[in-house]
This record gives sequence, C-alpha cells and structure tokens, in this order.
Amino acid sequence: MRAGRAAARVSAWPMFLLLAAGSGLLLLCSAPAWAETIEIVRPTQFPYLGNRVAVWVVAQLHILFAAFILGAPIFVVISEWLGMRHQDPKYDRLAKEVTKVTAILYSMTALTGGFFLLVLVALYPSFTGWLFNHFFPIFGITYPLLFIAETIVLYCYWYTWDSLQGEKKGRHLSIGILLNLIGIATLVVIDAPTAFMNTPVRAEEGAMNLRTYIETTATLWDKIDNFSWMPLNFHRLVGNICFGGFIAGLIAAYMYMFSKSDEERAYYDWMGFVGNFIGIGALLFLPLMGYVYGSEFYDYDASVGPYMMGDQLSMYFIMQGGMVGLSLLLFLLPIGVIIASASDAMRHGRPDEPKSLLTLPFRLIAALLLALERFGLRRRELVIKGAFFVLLFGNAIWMTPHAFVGAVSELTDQNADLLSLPSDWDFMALMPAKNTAAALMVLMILMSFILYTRAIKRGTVRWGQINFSSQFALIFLAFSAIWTMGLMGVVRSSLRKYFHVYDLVPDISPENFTPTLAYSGRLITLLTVVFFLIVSLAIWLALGMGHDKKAGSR
Amino acid sequence: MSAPTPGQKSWAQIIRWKLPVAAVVGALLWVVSGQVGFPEVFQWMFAGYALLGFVVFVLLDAPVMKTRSGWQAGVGIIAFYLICSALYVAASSLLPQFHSENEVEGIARKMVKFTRSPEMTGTLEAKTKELSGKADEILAKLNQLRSSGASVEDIGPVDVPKLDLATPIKNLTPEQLVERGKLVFKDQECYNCHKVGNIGGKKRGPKLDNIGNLATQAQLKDKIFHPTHWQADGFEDRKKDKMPDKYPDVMSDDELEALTSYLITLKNTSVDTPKPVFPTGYSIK
Repeated sequence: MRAGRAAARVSAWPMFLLLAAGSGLLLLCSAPAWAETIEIVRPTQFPYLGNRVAVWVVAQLHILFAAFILGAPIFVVISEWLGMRHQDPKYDRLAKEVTKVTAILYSMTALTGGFFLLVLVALYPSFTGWLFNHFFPIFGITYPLLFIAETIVLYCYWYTWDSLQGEKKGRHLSIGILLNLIGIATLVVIDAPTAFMNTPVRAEEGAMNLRTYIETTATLWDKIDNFSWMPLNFHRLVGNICFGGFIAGLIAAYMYMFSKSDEERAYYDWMGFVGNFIGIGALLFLPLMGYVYGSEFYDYDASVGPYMMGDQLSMYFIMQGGMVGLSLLLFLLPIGVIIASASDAMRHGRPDEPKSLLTLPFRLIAALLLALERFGLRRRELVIKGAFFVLLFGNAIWMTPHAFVGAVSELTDQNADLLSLPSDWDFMALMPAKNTAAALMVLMILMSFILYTRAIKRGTVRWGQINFSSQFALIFLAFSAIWTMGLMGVVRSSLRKYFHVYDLVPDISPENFTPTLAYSGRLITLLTVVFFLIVSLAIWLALGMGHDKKAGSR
Repeated sequence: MSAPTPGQKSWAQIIRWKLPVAAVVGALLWVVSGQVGFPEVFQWMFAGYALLGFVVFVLLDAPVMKTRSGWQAGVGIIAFYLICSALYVAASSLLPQFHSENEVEGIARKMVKFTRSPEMTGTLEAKTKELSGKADEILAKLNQLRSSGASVEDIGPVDVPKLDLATPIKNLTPEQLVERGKLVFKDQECYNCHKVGNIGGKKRGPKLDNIGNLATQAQLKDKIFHPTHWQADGFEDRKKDKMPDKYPDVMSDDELEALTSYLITLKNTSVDTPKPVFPTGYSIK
C-alpha cells in the first residue's frame, strides 16, 4: 500500500517537471522577440522589495537550486561507481536517494529560472534586451537545447535505475556520466554572459574604447572568452560538488534523525560522513579556485581588486574567512570523535596503506606523534587538539583585517591609527600570510582525512552510534555552505559596481550602490532559510522521512 | 545541552581548567598586542580568538548528546536553524559597515558622464517625464490645499525629488575646482592604489604627496587617460597591477580637469614621491 503510494508520488513528478522545464524554455525562447520591443517598455517597479532585491531573491534561489542539480549528479555518479567497484549496495542506495531529491529540485531550478527571466525582462528591460541580443546564440539556442537534453537524460538515468542493474550497471553509469557532461556544458555556457558582465573583453590597449569594440568588432567568441569566464567555470564546478556533498550530508542528517531502526540510523550516519567528506574534499580546493578567480579581476582592472579585498567588500571576505574557519572546525569535530574512538586500534596496528611518496609528509607526522606518545603524551590529545589549535590559529590570521573599517575610503587622518594594523604588522593582512594560514588549515584537514580513513579501514567506526551532535554539525555545514554561496554571489555581482556590465552598461536605477554587509547578511539568511524549507520539503516528499524503508530499496 | 553519562566528565569538570586557561591566554594576547602597538579594536579581536578557542575546546570534550527522534528532532532542527540564522545575522551586523550614502553621492556624480551620452537619452527622457508627472501631481495637490485656505505650515514639507546635477567647472573658483578634484579622487577610488597623506595603498601605485612638484597638469592628464605614455620611477615594468586604461570611458573631461587641478596642489617635499620617467622624445599628443 505504502509502496503503491510512493510509486504514484514518483510517477506524478515527470509531468510536473516537464511542465516546469517547458515553461522555463518557452520563456527563454520567446525572450529575443520581446527584446525588439523593449526600448519602448518602461521598467516596472517591484512593489515593496524594489527591483534590485526582487532580482536578488529570485537569482539567488535559482543559483542555489542550479548548483545542487549540477553538483549532486557528480556526487551521485562517483557514489554509484564506488558501489559497482566495491559491490557495496550502500553506495548505490545513496546515489539513488540523492537522485530522487535531485529530480524534485530540478523542477524548482526550472521554475525559478523562468521566474528569474520574467523579473529581469520586467524590471530591467533595456539591459536584458541588450544582453540577450549580444548572446542570442547562447540564450536562444544553446542553453535551451542543453536544458532539454539534460532533462531527457536525467529521466533516462532515473527510470533505468532498476532495469540497468547487474551486468548492465556500466550502461547506467554511462548515462550518469553523459548527464554530468551535459550539466557541465550547461554551466560553462551560461557562465559566459555572467562572466562577461564582470569582465567584458577589451580591445588591444589603446586600439578603441570598450563600447565601440563590443558594439562593432568583438565576435561572440571574444565576448564568451573573457577574463573571468574560465576561472568562474572551475570555481563554480568545484563549488557545486562541494555544495552537492553538503546537501547530501543534510539529507542524511534529516533521515538519521527521523529513522526508526538502528539499521537505518547506521546507514544514514555513514551517508552523512560520505557527503561531508565529498563536501570538505571539494572545499579544500575552493580557496585556490577563488584565488585564481580573484586574481583575474586584478589582472583585468587593477582598481577592481582593492574594491574587493580592501574597500567596500573587504568585510565580506572577513565574514567568509570566519565561516570557512567555522565550517572546518565543525567538520573536524565529529571526525575528531571518530579518530579518538579508534585511537587504540590505530596505536597498535600497522599502517597498511600504499607506501607512496605523496604520503611521506603524513608518515613523518605520524612517526613524530608516536615518538611524543612514548614520552607520555597521549596521541589523541595531540592529534585532535593540535589540529584544532592550528585551525584556530590559521583562522585568526585569515580573519585579521588591514583595518576595522567598512571601506578604506572612510579612513581619515584622525581615525587611521585607531583602526589600522600597526605598519610593522600589516603583513598579517596581506595575501602571503592569508595563503599560509589557508595552507596550514588545509594540511590539518588532509591529515585528519588520512587518520580518519585508517580508522574506517580498521573497522573501528560504529555507524549509528556516533555522537548525535554530529548530525547538527552536518546541518551547520550545509547552512554555512549555502550562506557562503549567497555571500560570494553578492561579492561577484557587486564587483560590477554601478554597472550592469562593468564599465560598459551603467545601472541608472537608484539601487546601484554596494549593499552593506549587515543588509546582505539579513537577506542571505532569509534566502538560506527559504531554500532550506524547500529542500526539506523535497526530502520529505522524495524519501518520506520517518517511514520504514522497504527491503528492496536497500 | 546533553547531560553527562556515567564515566563522562560533567560540564563543570570540562570548564574547570579551560576557563582560567582561556582567560589567561586572552589577557596575555590583550596585553602583549597592546604593548607592540595594536589599536584597542585589534586587542579585543585577539581576546575574542581566545574566547573562540575556549568554546571549541569545550565542545570537543562535551558529553555525548542523547539521540533524539520524531518531533523532538524536528524541534531541535528548527531551534538549530534559528541559532544559525541569529549567529550569521549578528556576525554580519557586528563587523564594521561602510556608509552607503557616501557611495551613493559619488555614483550620482560619476553618472553625469553616462547620462550625457546619447545612449542614455531615451532613459533620461523617460525619467524626466516621470519627474515632470510627479511635479504636476505635487503642484495640483498644493493648489488644492491653497484653495481650501491651508497655510504653508499646514501643508508641511513636500517630498520633491532632489536632482544632483554637477555645476560646470567653468563656473567654479580655483578653490572649488580643487575641492571637486578631491571628490573625483575619491569617486574614482584612486586612493586604493595611491597614498596621499596617511590614507591609501602604497604598494600598487606611487605615493602622490609631492606629484605637484614633479609633473605638470598636462602631463598628469596625459598619464590618467593614457597610462602607458609615461611611468613613475620604479613602476616601469609592471605586468600586473598596471594602471587601468579605462578612464577615458568612465571620466568626463571636466572630471579630469578637476582631478589634475587637485593633484598639482600636492607639493609635500618631505614625502618621496617617485619621479616621472618620460620616454625619449615624449610629447603630449
């Protein structure tokens, strides 16, 4: 009976998804026709919220859903492959459950995408028309086709799950890989106009001014292949994997909390740690990706970099540093508990991982720890508390600003000495110090990875019996990941300053100034909560929190 | 919060040593950082790090939390979301904020350049019609009130849109022109790369305190609109952090006139402003 209801629930989604995706596509395809008459259309004023906030809300929600539906399939296919390789049904179940939630959130991506387009056309008609005309082959042809292809392949992937098992599993995996390739292509294509708005391509120095070049000479490829396009692709790709991992961790935490049997709890405990690992694993690459992305802005226009790191947006980065630091600490907390519980086995066991040169630094650290232990220092204390201490220290360096002021332009001769680092210590606010701090933190997490993997290999982790507080750590990590995405989204958009397209198309609306961190913080929090509510509903619909699972689904 | 199970430390036992250690570390950080010259706000920040460390190490040793399920888990999740939301809203609000109104004024001044371009004519016309409509509306209301015998006090302040139009520079006195130039320096965020007085970046671009003794106004105009025409000593071979060549696109000739009028007044010989290096045969085109 219950299985029948579940089947009916699943079978209703394709129609809904098709309708939603179709609406989005219809809007996309018809947009260029509107664009021709846009010059005579006056912008509509969005009631109460104002135009900027309206676009902000819809765009942010759309990007959050899009990030998940692009990141989760990468996570899912890796998991399915691991299940096939190790013949472990847990991985396959994990992949299937995450895909089920992805299918529902796919419709939300399409709906918010259509809504996004509507508000853009209504609230910023001139600019939207201008941008669509410049990128018509993307907006009018490539993107809708990729979207259709992705929809079809997603359904194929989902509906062939049970029929392509056993020897046919490789075929199913191939569909998943195809789904990911199309997803990545979609991301890369839509990143082009997004990146163009930040760094529109310029002519060779002095050849002609930006406007003349863009309007008369630059080809579509010139506009696509702008300064920040490729770094944005990599940054978003890694960010989406990270995001997908944390949302998988969130799904696991919910399901764990509402499980009714120890077996279910053990499974979701394991799933949470897998999601967490993928999330943090990808997060470790993000500072590097962000650094490359940010340095492109410095190269493009030396005046953008200081605006980002030293002026109006500097406190956004202090906030980001705090959040990444907190996320790493919260990640390490349950890992630390696991390592601690497995410390006895680790102490008396022999290392059995491959003796690669790459692991040499960690082996040296392990040997040092062992030597210290012989002097009476407990290994657990050293590993966990030492790692936490280094993380705290690294985070402190990362978060130390050059000056405690919202923008450098507000420093005066009178307050500069009261709010700035002493000149002998201003290296603390420079990139070499920040990079060293980030590298230290990454090293600590990598070391924890290795110790944790060893603990897992020795079978000393009892899934389902780990401290319940670790479920809240998973929720916090997902919350922080969403919040950070929102925060960095504001930074990327604000880097255009008072332009829709930097230095090219000015934003003449009254809302063309940089929002303060406090204002952004409130709005991002609200959006994070709204996203959480929708995702929670999707998890409840897809996986039926609290219901006993049928044996067949395991 | 969870209660300790047998064999686990109680909260009091967990905090007993950590609290005094954190207090000592915090106090030490405060005193030492003050001694080496950190302003008070940084001293508080370092003490805050000690507090954060205390919280983290207490959490690390915290008793195992009892597993909850069903509605208790639901309530726990909602409460946790509220805590996370409050934490992030508080953190983002407590960090220093800039004053948007300063930026808004600057943007309005910079917009003059764009609103004068032909592309913006259509938008300006629409805006003018809108403002004209509002003005007619206000006048109609005023006439209505007057005809009813109301005094100015009864009518109260009228919310008339303020138009921030820049006065043409030809109408400015030399002193006003220099003041306008200071505003342009700020609006174009020159301070991010060029230090003047105690404020500004000192690594990306040369300090400008003595530029008035080293370059003429014409040379400065040439440099700003054509950054490759000449370089400052020590900044010749920059591959990165080059001075942007966008200023002809984003600054009007009036703004350039005002900015350079300000720059040539900077004649502080006690500051070692790098000398201009002009290429052989340099002349202003």
